[in-house]
Amino acid sequence: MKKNIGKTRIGFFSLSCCEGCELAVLELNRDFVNALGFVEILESRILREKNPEQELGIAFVEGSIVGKDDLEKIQKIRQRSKFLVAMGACATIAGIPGIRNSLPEKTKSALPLHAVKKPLAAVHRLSDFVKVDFELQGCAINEKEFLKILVQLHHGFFPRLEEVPVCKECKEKENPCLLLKGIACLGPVTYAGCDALCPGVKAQCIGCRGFTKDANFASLKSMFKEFGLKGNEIKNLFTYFNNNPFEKGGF
Amino acid sequence: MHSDEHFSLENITKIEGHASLEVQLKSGIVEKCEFRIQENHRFFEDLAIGKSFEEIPLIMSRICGFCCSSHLNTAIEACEKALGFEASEQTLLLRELAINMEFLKSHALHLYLLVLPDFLGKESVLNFDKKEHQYIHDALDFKKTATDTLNVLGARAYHTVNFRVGGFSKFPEQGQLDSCMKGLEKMRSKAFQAIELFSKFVSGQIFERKTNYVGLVGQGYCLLCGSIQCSDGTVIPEENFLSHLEEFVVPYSSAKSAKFDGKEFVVGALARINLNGKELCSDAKKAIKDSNLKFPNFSPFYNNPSQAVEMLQTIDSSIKILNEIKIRQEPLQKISPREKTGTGVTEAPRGVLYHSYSIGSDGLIKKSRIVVPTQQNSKSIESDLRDFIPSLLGLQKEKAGLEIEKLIRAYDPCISCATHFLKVKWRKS
Repeated sequence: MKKNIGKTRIGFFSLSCCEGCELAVLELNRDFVNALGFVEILESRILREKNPEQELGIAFVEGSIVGKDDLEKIQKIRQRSKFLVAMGACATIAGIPGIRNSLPEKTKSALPLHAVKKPLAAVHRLSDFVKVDFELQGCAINEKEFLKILVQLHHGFFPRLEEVPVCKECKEKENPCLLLKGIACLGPVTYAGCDALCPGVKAQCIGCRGFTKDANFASLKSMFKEFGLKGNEIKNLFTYFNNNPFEKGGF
Repeated sequence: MHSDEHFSLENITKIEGHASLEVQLKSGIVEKCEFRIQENHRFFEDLAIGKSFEEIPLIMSRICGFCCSSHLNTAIEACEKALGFEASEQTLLLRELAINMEFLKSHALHLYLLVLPDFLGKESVLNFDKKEHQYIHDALDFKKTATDTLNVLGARAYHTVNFRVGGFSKFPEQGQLDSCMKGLEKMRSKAFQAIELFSKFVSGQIFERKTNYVGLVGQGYCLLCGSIQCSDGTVIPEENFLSHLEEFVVPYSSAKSAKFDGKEFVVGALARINLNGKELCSDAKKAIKDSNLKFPNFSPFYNNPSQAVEMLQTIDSSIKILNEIKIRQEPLQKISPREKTGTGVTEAPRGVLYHSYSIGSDGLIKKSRIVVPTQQNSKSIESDLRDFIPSLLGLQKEKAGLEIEKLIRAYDPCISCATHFLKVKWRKS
């Protein structure tokens, strides 16, 4: 039995970021155009001239909370949206802008925080301040995953994240294990869903999809030490993307 | 719009990033014109400190989603120069291919999705009617051709993975590159159409303002290396760029502005063709002639057809690279660090992009400096508007606002880039 559920009203928003996740959505190509058959993009500063604030079915928000205006913006978006989806590493784990949180105190105190636009003391992911219904991980996001959860939410299903590390997908793709070659890779502690993209081209995983709940940091760190990595090198690797001030893999 | 009016355009749309404009008119003369860049600072220059040179390109790629490959490859070039490493010919060709694809993708998205609605009198590309839908398909086809190639080169379209200091973590297979070539060849005829289309839209435009144009010149229509030339005749090596550049903070904007040898200037597609048009491929030159475009040109609106010309140029240049290249799998070179500063300058889709890093003997970054196109253009955007706005007197406010936005959009400003490095060195006295 087919029920007419009407178009889902969505909006795209960007806080402080590179806006690459919104662009990544265009990677759906013809599927993007097809999706316009069941969604209505009501707000998108990059695509629309007029963006009056309105009630939305789903708000897709990329970017970190860096300044006070970001915070005010996300709170308003939350109020008028049924579902809020955080898109990308900036929005889900503070990401690259969040490296500021992990800088040594000396560098941090020299930052021009009194600059023209005053930033907050730390860079935050969305869920530090508002309820986030779903997190699309990655830097940038995977467009297929975006479409999957868009379709699910449109039909009233609540999407679920498969909670497995990158290693699982690496094994499935039969990629040679980088750890076995003595290359420091964050695959064992990072959420999968990227099709083990980086190890697939012989590049270490740098954790852009966030750390798994049961990550064993201590064991991985001691392995990296055995590889000959120095303390600061290990810290740099763990804080490539994972810089949330409230939850950082042991750093 | 009256001759005495104060108005502001809050949240200018259909550009990359957040910006607004504040204008004060008195007796028909623009007394105040402030292009306000309103993004938060992400302090990229500081984020680099203490990171290893191997990590830098992947971090800098995240400055901007629109021009991530440009930031990535410019950072790689700067680091390799500091380390005294010379990349293999194959690596350099593939990097050039990536930059070409970045241009194709960025220009196509800007022209079709952000600029075209203005000319068709539509609020948004999302309101295109059925017969205009072909334009959306064209935009996505150009983008797909470019990102398919970037996928082959770098494992994904945005924030590519394989590009490294020292070469590639993994080279593409020859067969994959051959299919990229087929895709590019298919888009050639569409590129001719794009040049015709976007030339038509500016043909009635009489506004122009002579200024200085700055870009890379050298062998061919160079995007990756060359000398920096100003239209006033100055030619300087890449690494001296900063000594000719005066950067300054404007109190109303979160990005710095810049002057070249004390004068304001323009970078980007129009600047490149004005300076280097003779090096365009023969079909691009022919298309310019067929579309009645004249260069050098001093109208900022001509940046749009210039971008369309560059779409054909980058397609043809890419086909040439793909015809030449026979992939050999070279291992990624491991480079030992040395203490030195290196500078990389490239042409990004929006103009000259400068990255410079001082690396310590431990391989960690001690100092970094980045100058991006939009901050170089911001003074010229304001000066153009000062001259342009009086010609809009008498128009309805909404119509005048749209004309102003059209001019700003013609520059294809990239606000994410422009703000994310601000490093103010002022002290409260």
